[in-house]
Amino acid sequence: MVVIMKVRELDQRQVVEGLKALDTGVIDDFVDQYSRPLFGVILNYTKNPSDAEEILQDTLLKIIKKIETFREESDIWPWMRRIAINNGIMWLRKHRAKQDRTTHLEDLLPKFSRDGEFDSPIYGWTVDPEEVYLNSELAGELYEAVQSLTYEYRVPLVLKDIEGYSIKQISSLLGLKEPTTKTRIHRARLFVRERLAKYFEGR
Amino acid sequence: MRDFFKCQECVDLLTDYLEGNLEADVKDRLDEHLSGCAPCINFVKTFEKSKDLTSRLREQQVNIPREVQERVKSFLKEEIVTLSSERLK
Ligand SMILES: [Zn+2]
Repeated sequence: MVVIMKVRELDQRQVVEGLKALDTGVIDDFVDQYSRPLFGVILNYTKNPSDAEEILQDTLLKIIKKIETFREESDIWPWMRRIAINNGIMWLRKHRAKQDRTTHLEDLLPKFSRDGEFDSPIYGWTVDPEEVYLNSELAGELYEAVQSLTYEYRVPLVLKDIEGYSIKQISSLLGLKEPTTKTRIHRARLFVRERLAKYFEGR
Repeated sequence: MRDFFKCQECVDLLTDYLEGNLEADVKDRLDEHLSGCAPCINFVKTFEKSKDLTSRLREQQVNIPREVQERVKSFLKEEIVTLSSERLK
């Protein structure tokens, strides 16, 4: 006999009250419901699954400990997401030294001739309106492109283009000067564009 | 007489251009170049498209291994025991 495990969907009030009461049943359901999207957010800051697991544990524990400070009239998901982002950044600041350095960004930046013109032709992309909602192949390609950036470029890009933070906020979170943040975002965008160009032109 | 921008200069300025951070004079010169340069027009369009597509990763779901969820649950159970006993004090 096949038993289908159905995850109980908690509404926001149940989550908040259950976490405040340290109700272990609610906490299990809360993990079922939120660990997946939180894990996705966290993987933008580290690519190592066991590090991501550690950050996830810490994030969930922080959410439980801080639930008293959550303003109940607001939406709980952005609040949790922010805790995950901050934890991801804190982790990076602590472990920066042992981070990967495998991308050769230079190899994928646009090339120019000596007089400043493009070295190779630049084509337009034909993107179906359907594709505006990422099909899974394109989404995978894009996710890989972002993930293959080193953290110095990936994190500012993620914070700007995925999380929607301002250059100013990102600079202060990462301890960077604003022009540095801007340059990194710009180069990361160029890199991602180039990877997508290869995808669109190659199919 | 002012210099005309090269493609490379346009590419360097794109992020500032799209965020509206360029001074009027610089923006005019960039627009002037763009009005007559097909590769740059394609570049700007695809750069913007790429940025828009990236922002959609926000809704992208990843998989989380079942074991990870289970380990997280038992970690939290232990922590809850500590938290509960602290509350009783
Ligand atoms: Zn040009």
